[in-house]
Amino acid sequence: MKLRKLGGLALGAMLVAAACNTGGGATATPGAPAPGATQAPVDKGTLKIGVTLPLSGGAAADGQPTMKGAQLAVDQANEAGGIGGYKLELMVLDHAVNGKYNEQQGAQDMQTFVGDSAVVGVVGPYNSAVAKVQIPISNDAGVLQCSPANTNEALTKPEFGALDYRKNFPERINYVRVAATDDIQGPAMAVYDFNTLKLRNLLVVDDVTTFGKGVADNFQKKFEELGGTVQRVGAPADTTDFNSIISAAKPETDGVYYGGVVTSGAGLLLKQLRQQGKTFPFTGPDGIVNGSGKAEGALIQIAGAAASAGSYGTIAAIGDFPGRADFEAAYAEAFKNDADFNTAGAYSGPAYACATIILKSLEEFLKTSPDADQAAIREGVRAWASDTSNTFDTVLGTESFDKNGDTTQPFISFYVVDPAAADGAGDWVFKEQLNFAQE
Amino acid sequence: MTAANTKLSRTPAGGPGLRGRLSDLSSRHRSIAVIVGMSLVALVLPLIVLLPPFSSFSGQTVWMDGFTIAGIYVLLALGLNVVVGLAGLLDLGYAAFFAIGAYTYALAASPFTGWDLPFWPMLLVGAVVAAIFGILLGAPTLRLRGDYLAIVTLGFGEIVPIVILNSSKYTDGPNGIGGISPPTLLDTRFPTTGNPWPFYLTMLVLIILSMIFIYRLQDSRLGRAWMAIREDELAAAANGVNTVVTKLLAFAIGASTAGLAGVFLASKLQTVTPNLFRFDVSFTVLAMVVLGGMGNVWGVAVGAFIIFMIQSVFLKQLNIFFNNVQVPILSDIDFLQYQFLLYGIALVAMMLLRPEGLFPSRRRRRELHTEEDEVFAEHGDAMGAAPE
Repeated sequence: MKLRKLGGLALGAMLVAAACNTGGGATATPGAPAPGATQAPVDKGTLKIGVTLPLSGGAAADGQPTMKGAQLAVDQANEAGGIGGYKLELMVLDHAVNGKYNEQQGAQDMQTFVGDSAVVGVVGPYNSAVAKVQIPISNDAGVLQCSPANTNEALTKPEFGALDYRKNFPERINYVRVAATDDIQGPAMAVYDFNTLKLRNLLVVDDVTTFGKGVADNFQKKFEELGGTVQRVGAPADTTDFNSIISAAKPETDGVYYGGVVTSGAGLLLKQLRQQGKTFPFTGPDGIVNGSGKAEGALIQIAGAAASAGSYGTIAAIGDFPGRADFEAAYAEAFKNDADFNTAGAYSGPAYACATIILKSLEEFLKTSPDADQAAIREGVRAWASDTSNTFDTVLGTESFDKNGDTTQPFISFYVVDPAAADGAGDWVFKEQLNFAQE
Repeated sequence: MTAANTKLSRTPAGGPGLRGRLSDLSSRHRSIAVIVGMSLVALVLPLIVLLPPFSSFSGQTVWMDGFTIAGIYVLLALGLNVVVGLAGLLDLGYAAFFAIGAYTYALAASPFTGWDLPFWPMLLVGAVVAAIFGILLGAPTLRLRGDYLAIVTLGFGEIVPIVILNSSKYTDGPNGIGGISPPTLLDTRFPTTGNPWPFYLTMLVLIILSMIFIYRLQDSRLGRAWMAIREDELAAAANGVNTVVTKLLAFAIGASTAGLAGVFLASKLQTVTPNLFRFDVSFTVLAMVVLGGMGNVWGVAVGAFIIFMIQSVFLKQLNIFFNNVQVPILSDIDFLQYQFLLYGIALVAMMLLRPEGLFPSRRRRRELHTEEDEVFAEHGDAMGAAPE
């Protein structure tokens, strides 16, 4: 009994302490310079940049390095003295439920961002399915959202039904992305498989998700157009035994395309292919290019370095971007104490670029109207970022967005597995990149 | 049961004080008690979040939006409580009915089909469609009990999302259906952001109606038949309870509540995908029912609310909270990485401390704590069971 009372007291004390300490840092106090602060930059308070990614459980391998990319950009901006007198803060929400992305949680998180007037922009999400739930909310509220990784074409392009997601304000573009869409990424690999790898008869496996099926459909369409033949199979992401699928493959099969994101599925498929003596190329979209053989849950780690030889993947972003080495060094330096995610992932750079875009828009807007209130800042940031005539110098090169919010520089980079890289654990190495802007 | 209840409450158990009279009144006028109770809750919740420990998480509109989604789980738990708590049929595939309700509305009011049927009648349609599927599932499982029934329902819960996933022609497969119309009332659309009250109040009305409905059922002949089946199916059948109809009705009513929740979810999110109805929804709802107190209607509602708030608001925002309040040490921990651990500890601790759930029904508490119940030890059960 006594113990219980003590516990209650302790809890009460904590809450009181919490109550006393709140305020201040949490919300901005516009136009109230700190007393005694005579230095040039006036402290106007704090603005927040939201991050909405799946960060826990099996999805952490995708979300954590991406989140840290955005964090790096914000930390750097703060070290440089903030922007227009404002300090910046990252507000991170995780929408993985029971270890997998969850749309309903994503919607709730977007409501949280929208409801916090200090949030000027949001980086994320990672999965296209989550974006479909979030865009109606962020569009209604007019919050800028920049996704580093969404590739589903229906999110932006009206001809694929994007207007369903911005019903109330179809003309107000609040969602931009730096990744090239699936109708570019899928066909890009099809061309590469057909022309460069000289494959003709492919086994196409998709993981029956929004992303996996979409990219595989686009791949198949282009590959068949080129004159190849495709045998199509759907296998949910948690499939563990692919032997029946491999055995059922036609004898003339000379390659595999896996449409989807590696949970364990693609890794086991690759492993079992090699065990059955099939040495033909294994190709796939950005979902399979998820880190070296040292990263937990990565394709190479599951399948093994030797089996991963002959794997080709695409990334829907610039692979060999100008500041890449500098960026990776800065990332490694900033997060060297993080045991699990101390090297940059495939979408760390794009997330960094997204944060840069939000910060740049904020900076430009504050130049013209330094005394705007939070609602005006939010709208100003959105308007500046989605203005097609503005360009951004990001780590990915010069970015700008078309009238739908898609990047005008849809680069696709090709990666191949080098089993000797990463001290023999195997890693993806950049091969070449193509700009599909002319299409 | 009503007669027995009043007789019980006249015994000194409740006492002649104000509390005794109140509980006497509320058990005789359940519907009024539910309406008053829920209205009080609905009034208090939006106010309580304005107070410090809660206000440092997020603002009032955000909290109310969270409560609205929590309400979906409250509805689900209420429905599953009928099947598991009252009728004693272990259902591990409950998310299937949730999915059926959601897809019913998604197909009825989205650009995918081109139809735009109004929300309010579709609530009823969604409930009816789910109930029909409940009967379809119930019919072949009539002869199964306990674990065997659990396996069949588990299978059903797996089948439904996979069928939705693979029948791209009718459901757009993994892409899900987007652009679903939100509800409209008097020609005004419910806003997606900004004003959470319309969705909040709609959810409140749905919960109140379902609770009244389930309370009335519980006290009816059907409710007593459910409890008889739960305790001993053979004895119930021997006493003239029609087990076929009774079980099917349990499945149908449980499913219809999930159908309601599904329609609401579809109109709230404006997008449905098969990923929303995976197995973890079924077991989360089951955990809510067990933790809330199986068989006790308001208990499972509170249990659902608590678990949902822990899982999807509290644990997710611990980082932000501790950053805002600057507690030393705690601010440096990345709580996102520990949320499974904390959630697991919370579940295990609750089960160890209160195996009968937070707010058990009187009957269940007696099962697990005979020695503490003085009234029971003296007089036995209202149904005539003697103390062991």
